Amino acid sequence: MRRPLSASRALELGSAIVLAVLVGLVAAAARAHFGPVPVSLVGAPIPPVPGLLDGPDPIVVDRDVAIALGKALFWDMNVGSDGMACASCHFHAGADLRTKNQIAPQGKSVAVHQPVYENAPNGTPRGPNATLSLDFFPFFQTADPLDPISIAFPTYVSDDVVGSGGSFGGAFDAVSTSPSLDACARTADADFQVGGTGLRRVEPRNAPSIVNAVFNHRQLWDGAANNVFNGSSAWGERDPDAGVWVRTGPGTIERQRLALANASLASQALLPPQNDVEMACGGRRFADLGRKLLPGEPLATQTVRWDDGVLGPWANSTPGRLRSGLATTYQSLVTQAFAPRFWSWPTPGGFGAPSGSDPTPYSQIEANFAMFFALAIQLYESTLVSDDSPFDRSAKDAEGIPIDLSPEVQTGFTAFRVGHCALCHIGPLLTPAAVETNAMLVHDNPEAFGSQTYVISTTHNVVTRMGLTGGPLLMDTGFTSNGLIAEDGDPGLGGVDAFGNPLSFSEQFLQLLVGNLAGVVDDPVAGVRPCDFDLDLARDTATPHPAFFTQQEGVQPQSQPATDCFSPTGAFVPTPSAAQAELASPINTRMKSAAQGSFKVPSLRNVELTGPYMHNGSMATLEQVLEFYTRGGNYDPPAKQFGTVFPQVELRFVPGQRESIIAFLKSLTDERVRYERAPFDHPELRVPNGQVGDAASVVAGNPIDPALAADDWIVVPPVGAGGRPHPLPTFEEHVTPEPGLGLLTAGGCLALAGAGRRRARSRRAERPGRFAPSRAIRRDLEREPDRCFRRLFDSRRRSLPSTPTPTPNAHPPGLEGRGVFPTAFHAARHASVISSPTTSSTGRCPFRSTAAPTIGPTTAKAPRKPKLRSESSAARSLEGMRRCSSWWSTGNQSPRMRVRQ
Amino acid sequence: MKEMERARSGFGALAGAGAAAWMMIAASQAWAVGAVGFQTWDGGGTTAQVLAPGASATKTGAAAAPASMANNPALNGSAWAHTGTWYSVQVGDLATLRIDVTSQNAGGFAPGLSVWAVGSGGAFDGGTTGFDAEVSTAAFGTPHSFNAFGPLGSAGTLWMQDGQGGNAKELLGYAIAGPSVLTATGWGETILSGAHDQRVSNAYASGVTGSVGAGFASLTLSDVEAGWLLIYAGGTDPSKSGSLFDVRVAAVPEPGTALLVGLGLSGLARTGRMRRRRGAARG
Repeated sequence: MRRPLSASRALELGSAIVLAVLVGLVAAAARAHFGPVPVSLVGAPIPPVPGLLDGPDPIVVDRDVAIALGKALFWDMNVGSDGMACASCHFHAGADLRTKNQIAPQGKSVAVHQPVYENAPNGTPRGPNATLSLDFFPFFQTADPLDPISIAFPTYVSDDVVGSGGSFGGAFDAVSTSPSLDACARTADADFQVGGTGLRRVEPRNAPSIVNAVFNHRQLWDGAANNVFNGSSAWGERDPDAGVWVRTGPGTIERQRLALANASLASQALLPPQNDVEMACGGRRFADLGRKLLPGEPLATQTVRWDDGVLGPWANSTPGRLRSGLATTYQSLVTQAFAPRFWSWPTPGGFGAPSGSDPTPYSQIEANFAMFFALAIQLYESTLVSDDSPFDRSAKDAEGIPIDLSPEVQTGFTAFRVGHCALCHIGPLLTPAAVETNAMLVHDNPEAFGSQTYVISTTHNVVTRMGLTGGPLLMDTGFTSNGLIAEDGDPGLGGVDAFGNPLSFSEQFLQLLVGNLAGVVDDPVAGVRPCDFDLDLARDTATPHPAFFTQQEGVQPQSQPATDCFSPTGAFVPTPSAAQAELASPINTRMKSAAQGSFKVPSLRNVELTGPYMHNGSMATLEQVLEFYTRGGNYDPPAKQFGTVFPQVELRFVPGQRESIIAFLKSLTDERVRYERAPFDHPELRVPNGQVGDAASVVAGNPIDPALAADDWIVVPPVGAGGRPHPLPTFEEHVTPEPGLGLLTAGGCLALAGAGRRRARSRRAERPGRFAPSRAIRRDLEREPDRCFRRLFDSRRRSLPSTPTPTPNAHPPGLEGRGVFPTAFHAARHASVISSPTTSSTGRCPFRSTAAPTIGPTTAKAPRKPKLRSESSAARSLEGMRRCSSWWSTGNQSPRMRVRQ
Repeated sequence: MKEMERARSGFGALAGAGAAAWMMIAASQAWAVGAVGFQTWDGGGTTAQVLAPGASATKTGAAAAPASMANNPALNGSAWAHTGTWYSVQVGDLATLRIDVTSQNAGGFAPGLSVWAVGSGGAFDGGTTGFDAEVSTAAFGTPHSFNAFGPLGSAGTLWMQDGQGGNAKELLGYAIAGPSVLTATGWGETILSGAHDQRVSNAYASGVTGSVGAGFASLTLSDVEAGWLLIYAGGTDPSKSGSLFDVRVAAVPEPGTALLVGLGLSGLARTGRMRRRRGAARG
């Protein structure tokens, strides 16, 4: 008998049934063949963090100050040991746009470590410090990128990963309380060096965007950043030693456990500043970072606009007078934002002490700095919600279909659903990794992801189960394999934490089933309800079945109530003995997880701006992404969700289908992100874009250490709440030479050469000491227009002044002469007033003002001794460089020469 | 019941637009019909009418996955409802009805098709996702994976069977151009290359024949009872690269009718020749 359901029954089911398929879809009616309906992000709830801002005794007592603290910390270059800020890898629509020294050979492959840089598809050597170009991509190529059969005969495969250049690393010794590099013992890295000269290391996964990351249940591609924040590490309740110091009375203080749910951004924030690939010297603790930062001025060497949407009230800048830093200290912000019980203990001691040359014991505020840092950044990143895209703005019909987008976007919206894209990229974030938000939306409205005739629901289950290429497997909600890499590639979710525990919830659930409670290290795993799985794990039936347990093997009721189950037949689990027997069986089919090779399904919001794509950054364009999905992926590992990634004949043969999907994806870009309007505005940031030189040779003599290569800096100018005048480029635009630009630029160079000479003469005569093009640049202009072209063309190649004079407080005691990188900071602090980069254009400085070694590939065989200059000289150079960088980076270009940034 | 009514009304309006329906549910509750949707025929409409001899309907440029009907190893060879294509046809009492599925690139796609009788009560209602919690040996519920080759009532067919999850009355036959599935299938069904009569009665047709070839699969139904038919067409060989394909449903004129038409035409031709001769003689 068919079992038609009444409306009430349908709603009852709708509110109970789980989101399957990574997400859990459920019932379908008329539009089933279309897939779920992507929905607006407007009004979508941010997962609550009980106890953070609410309750009788909140941790944060002033949210606004905490957000300001978080924004300052996120963008402050002084957080890293050698100039890296959190933002250094997340400055462009929340992601990274750099193109030089961004390749990590072999990524995180589980194969034997053989860090070989493959040549580019055209044969170009692609070693460390190489500059990415469009013809490097994609990293998996076939004769016909749309042909599913051709994946068996790839014409090019590379396991290189386009990640993010980070730190030189080194062994940590001590910090300075002034803006400076940390004292570390640094040497050239074996993998990242050219001719023995050390480069910055490269993180072996592509930097995901932080925009909308607050909705992710866990952060990072492998989910390593725990949903629960423990106050002192990224590992949540897995970390037995985690905790924060709490003053419990006038004379009492104790270390207490902390468990803040839905705080994975805080967990994540603690990883890079302690990672010797990303930001720091190995062994540096957060208490050390607290000691370094707390007394000082936030963003001391970086300009902050007076109209910054968050930091403006604290900024030293005033309208028309751009200055660096904030008129406060980190310690002041911390004590305003956080409850006194976390910082008010009056004396140091009892909280440990540094292990290096600094013997002074930590204070409470230093010992708890990890918590301040992490929660402030979580609160700041929680403001980065991009819910104002054309898709969000579009009116919708009764079934949630947008109705006033362009015809191509409308077509793409349908093709996105028909092509199974919407199955994984579901909900308002277009990802099932937004577990809590999706669950809350569907709980309140069973039709949230559908319509009256299409209902979808979800629960808070963090594990589901379904048929994949490898058979019926347990899956972590929000994680899957799309067949991008082979089984022996990056383990992804199949990795382990710092204690050897599996990152995966599914792996832990297997341990729960066999009765090994010690193998369950995350609380949500114990709450997983089997009857909400997409595919039953066990049934109370007599007939054996290869996909689930039955009475034949031994089953028992699940521990939770079986009310409102997605699958009432699945409200059972195997007995521990049955589970153990299956797990030990050589033909185990029922006790498997899909963790190995699974990665977090990313949101697609602003995806237009966040290339290169995938966890390994192996695709440069959305067209390459669509080609990948059209051919059904590259490989067929067991964890692959073949039901959503398979050969798409329609996308291959019906003209316009792929293009329309891309048009739809572009409708997900929030213009506030594109133009960096509040809340996406930011302070100035200087980012190392690889090293001076190229893949064949680099310039040694980094101010940090002569054995390291000089950094090739780019400057991201500060942007106020009103945003920038020109849109952010896409990655493709950034790496694609523009036809005709050469001629235009060369002509411009020649024209500017004359004008520059005249202006320089005039300026020197009228205002001696002010910025003027360097002799080298003037020589370029006059004699080498092609070199001028290269300077102009590659806007990414700008260096800070190379070797300003060290200042007395630039180094911790005992480190004088080790390096002078921080003096650039000091130069910045003394930089004179410059015009607003977003409201005016000098139009006169398309060239780098520094005399630092520049474009020419200079050999690293003989490290150059740093050339010392006066600080005033450095300041002048920096000022000029800033003009130049502002001119470039904001698009305020000379009317005579427009150069795409 | 309003939910059901909404589902039904929505189905008609929306059914044709999606080529690849997808629902992934394995062990879910039955909720409403409409688990699959129909293709739109050339000229519009999701149900073609082929009521009299000589009538036909065509769908040009359909798209289905290369192994959407058979030989997908991940499904243990069974059919995959949401990556193939579904068609609805209303037929009259016909002596012969021929259904052709032809790849636009003969070497790029090995098509197959199955045909069910839905009876005289209306078009196929779309079936019910996850009806009766059926799960194949490949761990997929219906109709993500379903049995397109066995008689209704066997495993993997309840979601569409009349009196169960749908309103289909009888599988009439199938034809696949790809190879036979030689391993154990997802629902225990037998999947053999070529054309096969799968009727269990003469209620809807008196016979089923057919043929297959490179990029081609065809079924011919004899003595078709008036009513609605359901057709599923997809790929049957995962080693093929893929191609768009065309579906044509044509009522073949009865021999007697063809003879009369032929006689009439020859008579007209003869009359014309005589007139021309007379005219020439006068001139």
